[in-house]
Amino acid sequence: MDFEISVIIPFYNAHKYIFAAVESILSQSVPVNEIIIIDDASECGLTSVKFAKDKIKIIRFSENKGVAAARNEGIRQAKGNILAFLDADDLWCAQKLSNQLEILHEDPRIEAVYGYVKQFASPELPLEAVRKYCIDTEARTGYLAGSLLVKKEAFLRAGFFNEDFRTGEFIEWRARAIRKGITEAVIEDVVLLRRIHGENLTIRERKRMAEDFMKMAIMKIKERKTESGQS
Amino acid sequence: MYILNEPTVMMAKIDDVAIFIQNETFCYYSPNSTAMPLIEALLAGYDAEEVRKAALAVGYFLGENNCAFEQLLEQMTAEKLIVAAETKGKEGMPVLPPPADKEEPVLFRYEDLQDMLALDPIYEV
Repeated sequence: MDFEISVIIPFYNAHKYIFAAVESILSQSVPVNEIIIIDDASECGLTSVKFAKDKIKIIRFSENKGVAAARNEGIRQAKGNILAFLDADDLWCAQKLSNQLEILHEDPRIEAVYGYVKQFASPELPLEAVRKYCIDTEARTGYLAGSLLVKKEAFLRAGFFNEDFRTGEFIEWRARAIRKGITEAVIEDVVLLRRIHGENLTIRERKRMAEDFMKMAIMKIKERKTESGQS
Repeated sequence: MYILNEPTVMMAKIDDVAIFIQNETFCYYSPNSTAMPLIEALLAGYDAEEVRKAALAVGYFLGENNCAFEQLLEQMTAEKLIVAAETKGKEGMPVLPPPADKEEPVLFRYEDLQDMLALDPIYEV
């Protein structure tokens, strides 16, 4: 199977970081076929920004719809048979694609590959803020969109991201993917560097994150109860 | 008297399912239908011994040796979901609903979202 990779970047007011994010994709040892940036109605549009490569496509929403809707639009536009995601403020590690593609080549039954994630404090973040956020810098299994490489057909079998979730949408999608029997693997390499800069959605929207997490955890508890026949 | 170990621990009840999230260990917990009223009575400020007596009085099954409630309490304090409070709690026995089933009270512990919570803490730091 020939792999054609579409990378989807949801973008919202992350002008400071987008070039580094795109560069981390373009400098992969395996070239991607297209990069689709979905500008989720940023205050200052991204469409005027010139990227050097013509494989970059920018789509702008007229109103802010959230990360799930932005990624979904990217998926609809994607021409590749492999999907990958990167948030506009994060970075891929140089060997991400080659290491994950190797798994897909080696075992055709694998449909989705994750990797490890490390967080880092953005260099401009004041020391006081770095301390405040208590950034966990340990390499951890990253069940995050940015660490995933997935066959498009498998992704669609689980369905699009649920746009009711403004945060936690990926965990909800992964729970569905597991239920649909999508086979996944995790490589023990750090594939994603996650930037903490204080304006992260997961920090700004912590209350909503908590609510989404509760919903999701309760969904899992209910599923377990159904499986075990508990009332 | 015991209180919820806030803000480290969050608790919510949605659609009759209760959940506790321990933001230090990144584990989450859910009580079965027997445990829930007992925990609610505890967190309402009733003395643990009074909750146990009330449970036995209305026919809750507390294990072969009637130790299941103490075990539940031990688990909840060991996992720092609840902490003993200095203040005086409510007097007397709580009024508990009839037991929903014949199971002993159990608090299930889940670790499957630890990595996610470690990366994206959901409480204010």
